[in-house]
Amino acid sequence: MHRQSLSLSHPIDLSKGDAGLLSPAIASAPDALRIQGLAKSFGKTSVLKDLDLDVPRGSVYALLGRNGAGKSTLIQLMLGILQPTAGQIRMLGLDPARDGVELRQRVGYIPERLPMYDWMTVEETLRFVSPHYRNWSREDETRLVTTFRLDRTKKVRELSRGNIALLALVIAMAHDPELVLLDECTSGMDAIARSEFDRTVIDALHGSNRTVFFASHQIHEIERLCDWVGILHNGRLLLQAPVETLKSSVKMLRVTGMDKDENALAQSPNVLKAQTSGREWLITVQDYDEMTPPVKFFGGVVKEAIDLTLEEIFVALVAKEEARI
Amino acid sequence: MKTLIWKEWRETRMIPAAFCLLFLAINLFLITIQYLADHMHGARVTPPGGIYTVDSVKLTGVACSLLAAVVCGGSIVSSEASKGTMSFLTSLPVPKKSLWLVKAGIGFAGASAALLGILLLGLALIWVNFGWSAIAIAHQDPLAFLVMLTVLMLSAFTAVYAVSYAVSCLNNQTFASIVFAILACFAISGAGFGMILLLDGVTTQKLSEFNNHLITLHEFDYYLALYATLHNPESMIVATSFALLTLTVIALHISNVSFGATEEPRRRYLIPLRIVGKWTAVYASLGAALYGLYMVILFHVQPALMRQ
Repeated sequence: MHRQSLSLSHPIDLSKGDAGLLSPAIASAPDALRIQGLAKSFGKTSVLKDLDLDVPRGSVYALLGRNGAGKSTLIQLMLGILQPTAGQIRMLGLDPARDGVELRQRVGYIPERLPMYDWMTVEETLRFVSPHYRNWSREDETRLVTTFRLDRTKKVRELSRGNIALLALVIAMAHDPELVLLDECTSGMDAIARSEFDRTVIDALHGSNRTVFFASHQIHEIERLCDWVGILHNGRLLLQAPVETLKSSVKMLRVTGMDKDENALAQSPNVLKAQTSGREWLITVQDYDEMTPPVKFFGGVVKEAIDLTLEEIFVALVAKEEARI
Repeated sequence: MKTLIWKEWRETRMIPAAFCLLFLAINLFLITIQYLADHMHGARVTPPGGIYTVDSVKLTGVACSLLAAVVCGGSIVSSEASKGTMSFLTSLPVPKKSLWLVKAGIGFAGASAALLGILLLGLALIWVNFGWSAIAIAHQDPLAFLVMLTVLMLSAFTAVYAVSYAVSCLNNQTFASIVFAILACFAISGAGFGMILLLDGVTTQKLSEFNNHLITLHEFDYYLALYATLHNPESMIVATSFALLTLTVIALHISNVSFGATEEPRRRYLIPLRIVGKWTAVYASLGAALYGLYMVILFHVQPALMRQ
């Protein structure tokens, strides 16, 4: 199976040769989302720059990035709410700028701030949105409302943040969407509410062939949900890869007896981060899987290769990019 | 569409009721002042004829109706942006044009409901306080003139609403939107009156020059049509109504282009400048063409027909 090297300057593209990571049926299906050369500016401020991104159908894709990286802007471009400055977006084969209305019929969207009409009750909110979706299912709506234990007679302003998010999930799911977009919808929730919401989302989406696209900076939470990850930084896609590929490629090496200094290590394209505690170095490297297996590293002896969490990988990659700039 | 209309009406319905109550409250206040003044001992505090007259009812009615138009138009879009619900609305699979149309329509319906309510309350107050004969005495003009005056007032009402709606689409804050709408209406009215005064000054000057034999009749003919329009009430009403309806169309065009815009408000204000520039060019060209045609008819076609 061909693996491309992770490269910060050139995001990984999933070629059909990497289809072994997905089921053959999904791998052969056209991408749920394909973005080429996307750019978006607001006046003189450039928010997204030359973005290329592919989301395979049926995958759970997590777009990671710091606050202000451009995640929400990207999602609004994907839905046709904003128009791109340059580039092309194809979502479910449709152009959001031209077919935004049709696209929003087939996509479920849960935004960050969950702005609903607080004077409406849960029932009124659902009656307000449902006629606009041709595939709205009252059975699915009833099942979801019952599962989430939402009180239909309560006004939106009386609901907790978590319940509002669940109501948004009902709206997003009840019309049987092919793609679900979640844009930092757990922000503002406490840890328990976030955990419960994530579990609810997994249960609601489990077993469906839907494509799910998360945009979040809560990396430790979505790590267990996603099978693809993209890292957005300063409007550019640093990297996109299957999560397992990323985790097998980026490791922390515990190295002893090395005589290099930090500057020399920083020059190496494979080294993302290096820190020393006297005799030992802890060096975060990329392309570890191509080191076959590394015993020596810069004259030192590799004692251990430590698996990293997605959050640690994200921090290391972003730090390397910021140092490069 | 039905649910959109329902939602907009639920959010707008209190505004007409509030302005009807405001109109009633102002009139009751004036009645109270009048009553106290009439029954006080000592020096009179109200002018002869009193402060509560048929004209005061009409004046307060016009003011409350126009204010209702400003508030209905100026708040209906900006309130969505200020509450943050615009993104929820635009994320629905509904074309932006439909959203724009429903908001414009329901906002105007609300303003019209306020106008109708104030009209009915005003008629009721006049009947109770002065009797129907007071209306007949106040309006002794021919029916055609009264109809034209009504058309003018409705044109003004619609133009005020349209300008306020356009301002609402350009602003993210409800209160600022209403204030800017009021300022815009005053500015446009001031510009309109200023234009009329300027044209009147020019044509009067030319008439004076003609009367003093400083210019010939041929030269004065260039200003005759304009002078006749400015000094004929019916012509002025027609011209003003036409101008107000044009203003309405331009304002609605601006609102259509800027509806749901996501640029900063500072950059959004370039939109009306662009559109007004385009319409000015269109109307200037049309006006020049019509004026040229009028001159050709006046100086060439008419004399030729008279020679025959």
